[in-house]
Amino acid sequence: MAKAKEGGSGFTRSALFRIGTLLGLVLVIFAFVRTTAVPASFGEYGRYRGDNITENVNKEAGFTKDNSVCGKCHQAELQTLAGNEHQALNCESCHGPGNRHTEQPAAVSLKITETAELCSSCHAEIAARSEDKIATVRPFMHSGGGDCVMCHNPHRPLARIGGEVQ
Amino acid sequence: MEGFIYPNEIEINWGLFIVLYPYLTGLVAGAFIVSSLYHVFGVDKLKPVSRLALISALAVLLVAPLALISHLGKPLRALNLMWTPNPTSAMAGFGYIYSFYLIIVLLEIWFMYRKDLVKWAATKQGFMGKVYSILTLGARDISEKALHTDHKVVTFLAILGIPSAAFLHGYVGFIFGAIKANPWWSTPLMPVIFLLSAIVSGVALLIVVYAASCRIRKKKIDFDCLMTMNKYLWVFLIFAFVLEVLEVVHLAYEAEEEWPAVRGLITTVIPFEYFVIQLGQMVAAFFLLLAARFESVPKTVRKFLTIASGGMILVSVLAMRFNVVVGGQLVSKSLSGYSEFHWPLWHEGVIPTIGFMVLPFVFLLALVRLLPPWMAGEEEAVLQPASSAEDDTPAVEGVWGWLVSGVSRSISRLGIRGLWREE
Repeated sequence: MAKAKEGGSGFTRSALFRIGTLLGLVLVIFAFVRTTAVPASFGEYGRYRGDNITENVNKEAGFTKDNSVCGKCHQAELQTLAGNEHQALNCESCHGPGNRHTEQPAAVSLKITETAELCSSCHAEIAARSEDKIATVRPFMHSGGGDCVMCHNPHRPLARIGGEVQ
Repeated sequence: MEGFIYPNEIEINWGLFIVLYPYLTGLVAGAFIVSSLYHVFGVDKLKPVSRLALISALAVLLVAPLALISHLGKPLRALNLMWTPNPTSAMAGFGYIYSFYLIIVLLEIWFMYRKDLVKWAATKQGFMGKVYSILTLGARDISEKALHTDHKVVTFLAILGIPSAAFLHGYVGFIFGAIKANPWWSTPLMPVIFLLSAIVSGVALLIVVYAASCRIRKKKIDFDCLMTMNKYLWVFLIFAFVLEVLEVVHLAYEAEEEWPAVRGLITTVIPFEYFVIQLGQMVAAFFLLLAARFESVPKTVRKFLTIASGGMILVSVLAMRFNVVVGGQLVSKSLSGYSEFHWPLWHEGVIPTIGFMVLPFVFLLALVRLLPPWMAGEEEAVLQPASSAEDDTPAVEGVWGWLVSGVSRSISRLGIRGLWREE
């Protein structure tokens, strides 16, 4: 900055001009970033990215239609399940999505981690869960940290420990 | 937890960070209004704190959105507020309302400091000289005419800033007031209550910050300035208190179906926070501030009472934010039960909250280094304790003596001269 010009009073050196330019610059940068930050399909259907719908529609389905698909091969398990507490559950609720397994049964296997955490997602005692509708326990106090499958067979939850009533 | 609540009411979603958000924005609005009292309404006695008020406002303003953004969990999503504004959502307006106000405050500070910036750029050497030089933006004209323009701009910005500050904070109250499902929040009074408690807390902050800064810098506190802040704090405090109580009295008198739930909230769930910390301290501060206005009270006591009231108000308003934000979520939508607030330590907990409350002062320290807000002509503090040459009161015959004589003398004066007169 030339020293001779310091203290000059031209319009372009006035405070209002300088700060106005800076502010304008900020607004221009904001407008520019905004055009790149907002996805092109935003607002197509509503206040969200329209492409999101197309992307979800085109996603590969992870889950099968229902238990009847599983029953084609795993008839024995489905029969065990019939008539007891877990009969209304979908197989994939515990076993995980199995669509690819149904397409390539040998190549893709379903792995289930039979931990207390898995069962706790339904059976842990929390305020939001009615004890009348679902058997809830405090998992650690109930099993001492052991996995639920040590005593319970998830396909017939109460069978292995002596019948219907505990 | 007591009574009957819905499952999704177990967790209090708006925790301590959301308590901080109205608290911090409130401090900003209040501090800004003090500076406006000087710049717009010509309350000259506030001159010693006029710059400090703005700098404090900026320091707190910079922290206010941090609490909100931290609460989001995914901080970068906050920018979506800016990229895709939603005109039908009050909450989504924050980005723009906040940015607008930030720009006003920055502009006002820049124009206010421009003359000094040019001077510092010319005199300071090395790195700081460069910083000041950049901060001048190359506008180095400090002729009388240019400064006159600056002054006009500052006044204009201060005038524009008052509704902006009121809007920023009234808006925070509006968000709560507009939630019709929550009986403890849903009242059109909410923006006004928030605004007034904001002003009160801002003035209180300024009293405390000013007193602390004088102590640290070993300068004498400008007594007139302190008493003027005392006066405004006292007046705004009355309005804030009346409105806060009015809201509850109104609920009680209407006695609609939500009143028992609200009554239960304030009498059994948060009675200490509400009646003692929030309202009790307001009442106590009211009397202490009033006591500090009596001339017969020794000046040191008057100073102490004012500063102590400032501290009490700061705690009281923080409690008010807590009682509103968290209290409102404790009442079940079933109106027949209360949830429970657990004080988390880390995750949106006490420790980061304390961090966010300290952070404005760290910013303030840095800003004060960069832009010293001190006014020329300050007196050095006299460090001789209680020589009390300045106190024209006679030797105190015990605390009771000066209390009785002071109160009676001052009460007799009240009717004639009024509290409003600046002596």
